[in-house]
Amino acid sequence: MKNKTLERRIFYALRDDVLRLTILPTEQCNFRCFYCYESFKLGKMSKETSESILKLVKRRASTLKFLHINWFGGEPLIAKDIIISLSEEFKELSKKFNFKYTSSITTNGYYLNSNLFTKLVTNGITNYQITLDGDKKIHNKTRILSNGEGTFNIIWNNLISIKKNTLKFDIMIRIHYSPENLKEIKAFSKILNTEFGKDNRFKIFFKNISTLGSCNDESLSTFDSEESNEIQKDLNSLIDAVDTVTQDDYVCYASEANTFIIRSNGDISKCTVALDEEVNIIGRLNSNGELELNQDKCKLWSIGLQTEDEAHLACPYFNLIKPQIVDLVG
Amino acid sequence: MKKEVVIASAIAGLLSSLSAGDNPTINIDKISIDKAGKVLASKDIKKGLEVEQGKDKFLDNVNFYCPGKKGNRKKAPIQKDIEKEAPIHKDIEKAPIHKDIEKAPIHKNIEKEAPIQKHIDKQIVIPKR
Repeated sequence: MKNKTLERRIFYALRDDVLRLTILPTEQCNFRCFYCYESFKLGKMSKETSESILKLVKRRASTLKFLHINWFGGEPLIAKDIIISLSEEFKELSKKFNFKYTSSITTNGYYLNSNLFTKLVTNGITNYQITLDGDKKIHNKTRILSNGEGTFNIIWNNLISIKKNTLKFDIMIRIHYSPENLKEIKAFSKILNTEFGKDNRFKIFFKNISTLGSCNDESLSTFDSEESNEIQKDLNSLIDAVDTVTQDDYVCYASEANTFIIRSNGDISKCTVALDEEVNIIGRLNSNGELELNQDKCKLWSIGLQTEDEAHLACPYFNLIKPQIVDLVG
Repeated sequence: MKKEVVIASAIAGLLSSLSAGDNPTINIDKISIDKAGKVLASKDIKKGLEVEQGKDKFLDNVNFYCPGKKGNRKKAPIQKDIEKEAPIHKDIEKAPIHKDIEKAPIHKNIEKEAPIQKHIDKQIVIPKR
């Protein structure tokens, strides 16, 4: 083993009393971000599928010590009824069976008004990732609604009103930088720091824009990883509360044997980027709450746990699986 | 060659090439996942896992970061009805447990819609050799 942190991450990825589910309650989105890799082919999760998720968790409840639910999409808050209803059930189960339940959500923040936020937090969804691409002028060029309208004002106002809330939560404001917006991002960082830097419930995470399979990948302007690391350090120095959790010894959720993605149609996957790849459909959630899994595919995604190769662990898809598939099928 | 065969042989080749290490701490072949998503590992692996019990604080770290690279994707359609339900996977009807689900009216025309499967058929390139 290379170091203790990585060793611990590997062991936790194999614990049988831990279950981590990323649920996509809808794969539709109200945004059409310029660099988005998703194809939005699937719609909202059916009632049958959400009931099957509950059955799955109930089956495991008595043997769990830890349940983490991550809401993803599409834009998950389009299906807020599913999120709230399942979260209430998970919260009750955690009390009844005495396991730790935590929950997070990756949302564009557009629908995250103060009332909804309070409801989500009180149901255990305390960890948020919300992305901005810069100030109003820059953000509204790339993170737009499907009708082309800008989204900055609504997200920003939601964040400001959330800050007034007295509840305990963690919000990671993810800031995308690229060669095209770096100058503006530096200026915007100072505004961010003034507004959120002193509130320890907010963290800023600077992330370079990367090509993940969007139809606009060819026209995306990106930094290489070395440049990006230097820029990230520079940007971090402008902020009091920087999110550094994800920087070292990263083990992707796709590598973890006890983590699954439940698609809106009930398919089970490992990776939230390779959504349309057959190799990423590792099974199916049945109506009785049982997972029908392809064991070979499960092992393939988790192979980094054995090889301890940091690249395999950090991204099994791009660093291992995709190159192999491409080699085989040409 | 069917796309399933191509994927299966890619997986088999990869697993065998990566499972050949000398006395690995964790042998991936000794791990399986049960129907409730529970990790079933052999005894020698569990022994290693027990050492780490009691450090649950570590579990609080939730990662969203994704470092991916290049790929190709068709332009996403603008979806007018964002509330539409997801179609259900074709294979569902093969599973015996789902036999009586077919009777439910909601399933009658879902198969026609299953866009994700259609897309996969187009996307996987079958080798000519």
